[in-house]
Amino acid sequence: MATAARLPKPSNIPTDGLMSLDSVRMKLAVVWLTGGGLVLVILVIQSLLSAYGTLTQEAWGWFLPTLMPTLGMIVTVLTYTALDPLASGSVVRRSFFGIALFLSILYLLLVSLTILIQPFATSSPEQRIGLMRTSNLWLGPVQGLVASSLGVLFVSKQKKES
Amino acid sequence: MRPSINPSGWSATAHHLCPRNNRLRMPLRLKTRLHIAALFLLLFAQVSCSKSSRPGSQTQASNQSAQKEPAAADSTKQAPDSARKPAEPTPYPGSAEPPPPAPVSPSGEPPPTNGAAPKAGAAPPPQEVLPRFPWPPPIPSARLSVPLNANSNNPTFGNLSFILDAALRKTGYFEKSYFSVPGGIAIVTKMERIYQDGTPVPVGRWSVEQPTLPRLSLSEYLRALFTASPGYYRMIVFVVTDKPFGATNETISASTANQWLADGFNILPEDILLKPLPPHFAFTALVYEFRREPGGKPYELEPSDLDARTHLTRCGLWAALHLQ
Repeated sequence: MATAARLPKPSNIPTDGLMSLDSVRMKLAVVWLTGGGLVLVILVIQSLLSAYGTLTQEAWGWFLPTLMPTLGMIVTVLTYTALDPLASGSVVRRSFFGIALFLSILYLLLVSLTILIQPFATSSPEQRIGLMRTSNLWLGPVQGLVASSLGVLFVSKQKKES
Repeated sequence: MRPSINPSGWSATAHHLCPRNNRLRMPLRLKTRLHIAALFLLLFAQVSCSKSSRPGSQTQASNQSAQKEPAAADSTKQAPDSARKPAEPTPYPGSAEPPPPAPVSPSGEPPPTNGAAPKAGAAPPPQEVLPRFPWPPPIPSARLSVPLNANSNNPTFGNLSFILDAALRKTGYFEKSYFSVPGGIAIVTKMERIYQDGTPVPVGRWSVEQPTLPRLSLSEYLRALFTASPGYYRMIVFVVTDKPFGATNETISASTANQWLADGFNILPEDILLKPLPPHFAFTALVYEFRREPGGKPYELEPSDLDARTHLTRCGLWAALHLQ
């Protein structure tokens, strides 16, 4: 008991260069849900107004594997940690959070750009789908980097004290 | 006795297996000679066939097949064969006999053939006979008899063509084709892209593809982002003839209509230019309008949402022809 008394008490206040894992997850979740939700709403409106004609299914076939795995992981982890009181003690390096945030914003911008540039670059539903398929060339590698960084942040449970 | 097989492949019966061995060699030599003779015969037949065939026959056949390919590839609408191949002669209404193989002149007379009365040593005259327009024409989206005045005491097809040509150029139609129809001619304009109200689009008027953002504004951008509006296209055919005519029940595809521009003549031949117009000629505008759904192929609107006069007014031809 005496040994336990000498140990420093766990503190939730992050030290310099460290951030609370909860706050990191929450910030990244806000970024992803906002960006993904925006693209989702645009795609829903486009589908309702037949912007893709008979190729609506192909458009969703591009969108779902582009955003849903990451969004699903974020929401699942947030839901799980909401019931786990121990998760609040974990910390993350601020620099790593910066990298993860940068990669996330970059990826969401590239996804949004693929849809928002359609009026300038395409004139038919076939061309829109073609543009989406072409974007997989650069979205694939960036998605790999994003998934790696977010996977560490949303799966890590290492606490500051340990 | 059951026949045995020798190494040469021949069946050796008891008769062949007699002590004289050359019995087997004789048929073999005979067969070899027969094979060589047959090969020579085949070679001779091939060489004689290639010499007797005409040098241009293969080219003509390939040209015909090339003309049929686009029509066969087009599957939007079931158009008649006469509409798909306008250069080929089509039966005229009321004619009991099948039509002649060559096109006819506006007067309805058969054209002179090269073999009719060729002069010795003289080159054959150039064939200046207009290709036929499909007759009766495929059903148009809209039709109107235009009250056009030829502005001359002795109007000719050339006068009328000059008036129409000036109006077409004034309104931006620089490409057109001439065809012959019974008792007159037909002028086909190039297919243009229009708005739903019949006004030609300012950008990409002659492009079959949908244009990208025409002008940079927020409303246009949002409209282009969230919707894919159908495309509307129009082709106008002017028919000058004194013969009454109707239309077939078949619509045409956009590719067939586009092919008309390529099949017709670029100018009127001189003999037709100087030919006087029939006294009671009619100047009829046939409007073929097409609609293209997003992601689909264009198809003819039959009937059009607009009447022919509105089409001519919106494209500017009504004013350019000084019509009232």
